[in-house]
Amino acid sequence: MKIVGVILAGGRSNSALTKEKAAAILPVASYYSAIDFSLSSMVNSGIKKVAIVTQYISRPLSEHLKSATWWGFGRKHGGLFVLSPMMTAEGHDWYHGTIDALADTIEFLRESHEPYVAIASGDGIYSLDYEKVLKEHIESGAEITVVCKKLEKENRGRFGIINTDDENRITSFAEKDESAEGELCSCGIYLARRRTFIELIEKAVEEGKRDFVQGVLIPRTQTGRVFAYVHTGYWNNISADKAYYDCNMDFLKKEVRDEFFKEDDIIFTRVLDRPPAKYLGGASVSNSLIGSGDIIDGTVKDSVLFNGVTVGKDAEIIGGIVFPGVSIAPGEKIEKTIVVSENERIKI
Amino acid sequence: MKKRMIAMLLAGGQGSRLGVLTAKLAKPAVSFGGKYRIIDFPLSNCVNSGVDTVGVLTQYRPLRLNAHIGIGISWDLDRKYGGVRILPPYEKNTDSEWYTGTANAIYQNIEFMDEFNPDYVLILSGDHIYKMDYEDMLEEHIKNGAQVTIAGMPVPWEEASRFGILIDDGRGRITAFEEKPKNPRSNLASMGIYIFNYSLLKESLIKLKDVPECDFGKHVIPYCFENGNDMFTYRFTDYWKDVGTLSSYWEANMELLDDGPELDFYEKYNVIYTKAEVMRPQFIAEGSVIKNSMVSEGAVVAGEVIHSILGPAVKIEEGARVVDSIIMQGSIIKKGAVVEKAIVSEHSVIGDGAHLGVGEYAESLLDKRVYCSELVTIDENTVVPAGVSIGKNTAVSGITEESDYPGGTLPSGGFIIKEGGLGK
Repeated sequence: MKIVGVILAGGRSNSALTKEKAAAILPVASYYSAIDFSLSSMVNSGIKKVAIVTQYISRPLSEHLKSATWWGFGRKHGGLFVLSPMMTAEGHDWYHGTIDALADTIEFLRESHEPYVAIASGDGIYSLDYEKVLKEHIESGAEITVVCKKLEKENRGRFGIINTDDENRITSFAEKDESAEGELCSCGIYLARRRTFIELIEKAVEEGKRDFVQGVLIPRTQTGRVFAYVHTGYWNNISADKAYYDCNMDFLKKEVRDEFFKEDDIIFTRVLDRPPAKYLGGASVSNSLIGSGDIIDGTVKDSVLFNGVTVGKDAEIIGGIVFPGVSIAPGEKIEKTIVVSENERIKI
Repeated sequence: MKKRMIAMLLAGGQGSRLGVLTAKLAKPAVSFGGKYRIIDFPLSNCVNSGVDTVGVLTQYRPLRLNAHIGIGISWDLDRKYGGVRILPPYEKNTDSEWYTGTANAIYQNIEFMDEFNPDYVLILSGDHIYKMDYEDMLEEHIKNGAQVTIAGMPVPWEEASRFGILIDDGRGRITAFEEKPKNPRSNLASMGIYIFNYSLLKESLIKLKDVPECDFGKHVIPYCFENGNDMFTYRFTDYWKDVGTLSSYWEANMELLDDGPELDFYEKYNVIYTKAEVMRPQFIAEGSVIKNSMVSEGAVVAGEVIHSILGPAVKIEEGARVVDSIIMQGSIIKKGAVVEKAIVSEHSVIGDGAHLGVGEYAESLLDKRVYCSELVTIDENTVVPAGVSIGKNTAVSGITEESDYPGGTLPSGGFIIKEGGLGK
């Protein structure tokens, strides 16, 4: 395989969603964790070796990634490597920015032999074919290729906005700037030659840079060859409440389910030993995703329930998202709300 | 590597009274409760009881069983020392033979057991649905100073004459056995679960090696008893179900749909493990009705599902109606089809508007011993064409076409068995 993968899964957001979990481990579409999508894209593209860099509340993530076989990784050839901040002879510190996190992958990347490296964040929901990205990367003679997605204006604010020339070469990159013009947004997924990438990161560390986009990517758009790869499939980033909610609701749409749930390219995840969902006499369920081991005795409509949820008699969930293991009391009414736990609710 | 207790799980039987369900796979591999297979119960009981070395003796159609068990990852039985080992019959210099009986099968694997130099050997069968703590049974075995302990289950007196009956002295010491007695003296039925001191087991198996079709119930247990060994019962009073016939299999599944069923899959401990494949979420479409049912991951429901069990990745299309039925992994019930009191095995297709389970009961023309209930039984990889009607107490196997149904009907008691199938 030509590509080695790196997934940055250390991030959190200001949302109550990430109070107890890193964004990469947030549950998605009733069955998955967010990171399953970036990992499965790599696996389904034939990538055999992936490093995941964690920091923020890494324990649930380590638990999720405990057995690399779920994603089809080997143990001797390639595999899944979980990296986290560590203490060294020179001292120790947490990661203050993406450069710090990426710097910790240099050793891993040096020991790899794949000519290219793909870097992704763990909170994107998409299915991407890296073979196609690599093909364009080689054809364009790019130094770095940035995966981009056309987004509607109201959704662009949280992302880097990109403008390109006719050949897809990036001419401007405005990070999280609401006034910036342009319809392409950066998905936070990059491809580069492994050696080039190591050099860029080493230089950035030397210069005391902290952020990969600000410190490396944006300057290189002026001095190097940075190209855009336009992803035409589904893409969303779940690190804000509304986006998290919308993304889950998107899975109730047939076209989104059809894109992700194909016969061959499956989204891999850690399969839990949960029994089938049980529907009792009071169940009335429509247009919803239901998790394993759920016990339902109430009404569930236009909703996403994760595994191990119980819905009491005469409870009513409409447009709701219910996190794993949460019980909805008999008679309780929930509308357009993310139920994170019995006490934590986020009204949308 | 020494192990205190290892388990030997007999999984070689066909289970011929399950009809077409076991035509192509061994009974322990038959699916149960939506996502499980029968063998998951003894295997999970083993890991939940701390037994980490299990020999699985296979013989009849072992392919599916082998694929299901693999190297035992799903049950945490992939171990460097011990773990699960599949033990098929093998050729020897002399006296090569199939497993001719339950005890003969164990006899042929003395070498395997010796590898672990166990103090105790637990003998299990792969055809029952139950949760049991074998460690507790072992503790009683040791406390009693027993050489053989037999698990026994009190059954209704009127049914006792169908079982091997254990008679004890009131404190667990066995004083007599009766095989299917006409006038039973006790209602404690043997469950076919034994703990032996290994030295006694090995000695007995070698002594009895020339007995034809050497069987635990018929030969080994009587032999140990007659030779004055200390034999005790282990009384078990929780849920235990033999699913040896189509109707008992169907009933055991339906009992799971009760509120607070006796066999609880939802408790946090004593989890039943199975080979879980990565599926996709379960989707319930607009306009569906699901009540008193269990639905596994990956299922897509757009129709009506009442008092039924759906396995993984089952599809119930719009306008289809499934009542009192078991639909196994990967099967599709097409638009407008009606399925009542049926068992539809894996990866089968019920065509648009077909109606299963119509009319009145009639005696089976195929096998009265096997087919003796109102159930419609559909084999795996089978196709039922659109629009046909299928009566009660029927069996269908293979890719059937409209021409196989004179007048569009398979009357009650009838059957269609064709070679081949969708073959997945």
